[in-house]
Amino acid sequence: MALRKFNYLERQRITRDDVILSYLSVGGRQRLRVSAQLERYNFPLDAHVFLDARRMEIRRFDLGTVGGARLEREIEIGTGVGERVALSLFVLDPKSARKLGEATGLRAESASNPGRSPLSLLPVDGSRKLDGEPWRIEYSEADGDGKQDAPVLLIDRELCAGTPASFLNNPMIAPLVFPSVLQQILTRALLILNVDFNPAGLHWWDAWIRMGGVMSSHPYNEAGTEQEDKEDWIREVVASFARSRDFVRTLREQGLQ
Amino acid sequence: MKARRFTDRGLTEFRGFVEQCRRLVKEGADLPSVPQELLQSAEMSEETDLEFFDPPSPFTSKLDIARYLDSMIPPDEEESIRRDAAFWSWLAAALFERITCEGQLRRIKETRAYLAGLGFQDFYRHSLLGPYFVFSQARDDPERVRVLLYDIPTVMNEVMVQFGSYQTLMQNPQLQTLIQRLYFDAGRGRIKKGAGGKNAGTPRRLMDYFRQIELNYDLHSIGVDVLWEMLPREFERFRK
Repeated sequence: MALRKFNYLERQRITRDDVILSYLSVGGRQRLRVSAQLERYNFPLDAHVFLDARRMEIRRFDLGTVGGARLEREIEIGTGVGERVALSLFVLDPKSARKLGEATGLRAESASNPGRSPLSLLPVDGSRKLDGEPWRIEYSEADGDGKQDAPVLLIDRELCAGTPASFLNNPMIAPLVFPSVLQQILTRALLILNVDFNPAGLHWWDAWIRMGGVMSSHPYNEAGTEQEDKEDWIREVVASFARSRDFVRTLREQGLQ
Repeated sequence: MKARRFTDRGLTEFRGFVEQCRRLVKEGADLPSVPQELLQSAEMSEETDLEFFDPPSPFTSKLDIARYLDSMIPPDEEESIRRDAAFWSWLAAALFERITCEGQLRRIKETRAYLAGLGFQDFYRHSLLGPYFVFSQARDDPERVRVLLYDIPTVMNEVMVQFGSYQTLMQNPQLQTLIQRLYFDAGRGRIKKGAGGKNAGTPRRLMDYFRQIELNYDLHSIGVDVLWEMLPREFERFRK
């Protein structure tokens, strides 16, 4: 039987909607803007708030106390925190170190384009050399707890000039890269891993397949289960996405005929 | 001589070399040396800015490895170098004989001990990155992590196996002090008798206990003496 844990101490789960994280680049330095709406949780005003960035190592940022109604901070994150880390926010009792509330599995978006990131589910890493490939997608394996990190878009560091956004916002590049990324990731999930889609699931593929359904106005569960049905659905999602972004016109405006 | 980092081709070749070595060991054959072309050719690797020098003497412990690497890596570049898996893999190739040598014998571990992975379940298993990372988290007092680094390069003790992937501990001086106190036998210079098992009070059980209490408590914010007093009775045999 699986081990179950009790939450006797009534730790509150802070919803992801109440914590908005966005990256911004200021003078070549990476900063993270944290905006948290905590008043409805009724935490003590002197409770401490921390943000943990976790990948190979944990980096902890002290965000001060809960204080007033809204917590707004901008923190310098240097180079140790890239766009592929998982972030968690904790509210702690200052005397006992008891967790009063937490929000885990948070991701940050680009502050220059909030909510409009072409593929907001996609962490981007521009810190590595890719041996001639301008970009590629990296998939991680499941960890000991059975959790699997989301796919990451790797961009060769020589193309990033400090931030991957400069590469991805280029109107000659986005129309060529993003539809292909979407196609590859959905193919990976549905045709290679052959995952069981759960509409309310928390796996990365659940989120991607849900997003595909929204893009195409055609939920995946309404598609058939044969390989051809899946291929058709993926093609429809990618085409809908490209049309919604008007990528053909974007490329023509750049001089491509 | 500058240290290098593998290209994708170099990583593929080195993986093949390690797997070949593992097969040879199973057959009872001698381990070959890493081909110079793999280490030096521009197709297989590229130069970094780091100066590489041979270790002055054989590594007798993982602490030796960590100290050697600490003298090679400038503190202000530590953060980016720690995340350069291709560099760590090249370094393992360059020091392959040193980290597979056990007295007069050669011994080879799993592939990830040589080809570095940066996932939390992989990096600490690397023969060089693992010890360096642990050391870098206790540079102010390396004795605090001796229980993780005391043994020879070709062996990974049970304490390291249990706690290596537990980031909360690897970076938490309070917890490092706790496991050093609990499981290191200073008289014998190794882990306490019985600490390598699965029974009550062993590192495996301590991990379960940490995972349980960190559901409701922030372990970064609790001092070692408080943690020590909080330990359940089953750890009594190691508290002495």
